[in-house]
Amino acid sequence: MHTNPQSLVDLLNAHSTSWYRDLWRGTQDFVSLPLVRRRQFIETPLSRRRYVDDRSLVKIVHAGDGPFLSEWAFAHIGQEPWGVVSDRPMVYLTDPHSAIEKSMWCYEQNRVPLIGEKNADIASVAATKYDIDSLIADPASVLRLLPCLKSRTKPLVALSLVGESFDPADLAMLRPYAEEIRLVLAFSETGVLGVAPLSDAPIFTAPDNTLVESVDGELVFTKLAMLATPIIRYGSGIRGVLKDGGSFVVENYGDR
Amino acid sequence: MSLLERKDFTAIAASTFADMEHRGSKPAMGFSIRMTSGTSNNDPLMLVFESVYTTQGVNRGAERFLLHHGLLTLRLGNVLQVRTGDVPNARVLMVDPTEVSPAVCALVADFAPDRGYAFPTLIMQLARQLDEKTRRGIKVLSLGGECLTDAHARFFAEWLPDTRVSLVYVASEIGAISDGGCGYLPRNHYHPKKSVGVDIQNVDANGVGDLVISARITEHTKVDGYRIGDVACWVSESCPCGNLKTFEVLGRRGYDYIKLGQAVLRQEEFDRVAALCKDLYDDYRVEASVVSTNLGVVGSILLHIYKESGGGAERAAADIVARVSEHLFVSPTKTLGDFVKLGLLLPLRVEWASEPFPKGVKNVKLKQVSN
Repeated sequence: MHTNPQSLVDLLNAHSTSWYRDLWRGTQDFVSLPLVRRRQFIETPLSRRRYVDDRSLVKIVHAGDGPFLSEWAFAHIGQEPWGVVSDRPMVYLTDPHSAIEKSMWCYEQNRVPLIGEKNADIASVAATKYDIDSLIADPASVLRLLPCLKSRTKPLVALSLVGESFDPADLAMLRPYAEEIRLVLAFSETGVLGVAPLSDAPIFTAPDNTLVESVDGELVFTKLAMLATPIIRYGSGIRGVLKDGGSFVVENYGDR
Repeated sequence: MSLLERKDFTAIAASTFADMEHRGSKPAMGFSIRMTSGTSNNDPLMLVFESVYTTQGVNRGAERFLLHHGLLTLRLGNVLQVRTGDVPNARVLMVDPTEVSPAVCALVADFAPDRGYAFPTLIMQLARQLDEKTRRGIKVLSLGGECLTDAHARFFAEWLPDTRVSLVYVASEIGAISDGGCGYLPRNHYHPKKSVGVDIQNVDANGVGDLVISARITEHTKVDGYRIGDVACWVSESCPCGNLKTFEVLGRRGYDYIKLGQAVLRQEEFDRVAALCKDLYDDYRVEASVVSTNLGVVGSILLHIYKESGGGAERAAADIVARVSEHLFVSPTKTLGDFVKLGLLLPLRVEWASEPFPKGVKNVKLKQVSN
């Protein structure tokens, strides 16, 4: 992890891959860098924005303006706080690329995950057979597993809900099914931006490797790691307010 | 030795889970949970594979590995192989069957895969949309999950001419049964993986019988004598690669391949004859059954026919019966017509379908029904 974003910027400015250098047009100072946005990920082939050559997973991300590739080294996947480490985790996500990624996160924590097949009936049978103790899902997929969660005799240790936005009021009904419900705010290309316990007004905490700024009320994120495509001053489109210690409250998730 | 059937896997699955639970210092990445699909009309089966025994090696040497097949548990197992494999900077891209589009194919071109592992019918859909440079960049394509037909072979020769297509024989309950292919094998021919025992039992006069597999799937769990449900035969000629053991898989009992008394009905053969009868029908399904007559027990074949421009004419049905009976081989040397003359099969019956047949991923056209 880079403790100083400026050192990462200096590395990128000197790198053989010129994507950020071209976007920054000579700007060297971190705080003056223009924001990068998802649109630029869509417009630029992955081959022109790759900065590392590690063993990695390449995902197809389906954004409103078109699909694009997002590459993550397995080592970096393991560093993202996607879930809570438990003995028998299950991953059940609507997007198959995301499901594979979070399953690999479990492996990086030295746990064998159960990846849920798309069919909810089959996924439920498997969850029961494996006697899962934690679940990584998204707000839509978890509802498909609800009959299975209701049939359990004890709550999960943790339920991690991964998404680009959350409606806490809709999710409150999940409380009986897990001792801890975590909201994991993330985009496919950025990894985890913040984690919050489920509450009426969630307060997200950015992961250790993530720097969050507010630029004219928009939350802007920087990952302090040399990712396959680094995340430097990423304009999230999320309107929010910064709190102490890298925390933030979302006012509006934006229209992505 | 009594043979294992799929129903016996409940105890085997429990043993594999116990092995995983008590793996001690072995890393989690050596284990993966697998599920079978529902093709056998049974509940899904869930068990654990220990990769050191079950690995397919389809990603060996791959720098940019493309995955395009079905179950997520299988895909995750392949991604795990890339994570733990022999190429330090290997990358893997999975394309879900539901997301194939021109825009996604442009992303695949950017990824520039050099090797892939796919379900044959699925990769045909994807390859048609890939540009020539991307297709030519795929040096090795491993295929598994279904037998290759003439249509598959023609497609790969035309669309992926620079690609070495390598068939891998994998069972969802066992893992890899064949090795990665030597480059000499005709389609649907395999060399057994060194650690896997292959036997063919209940053989008929043609040497065709049930494929029986013995293999270890975790350290303490060995499947011993599992009748896998496919029919196969040994190939007597030795392979140019020097391997003396080669078997040919003829298909899934009851799907690609139905034994009807002494007759053998193969979907591939019906497909070949259908191509000869393009002017008479567009698509077909076969129902095979055994019936008792005053001549004894004989086989009966009902051919369901669909023609988009309409059908149903008595004359056309008679033409179909005549042409199919003349051209369809039901043994190495005898046609359906020959078997009818010998009294081993009833004359072919034809029924017209008013709507196109529903299509599944495996495109199963043969069905054995009981009378």
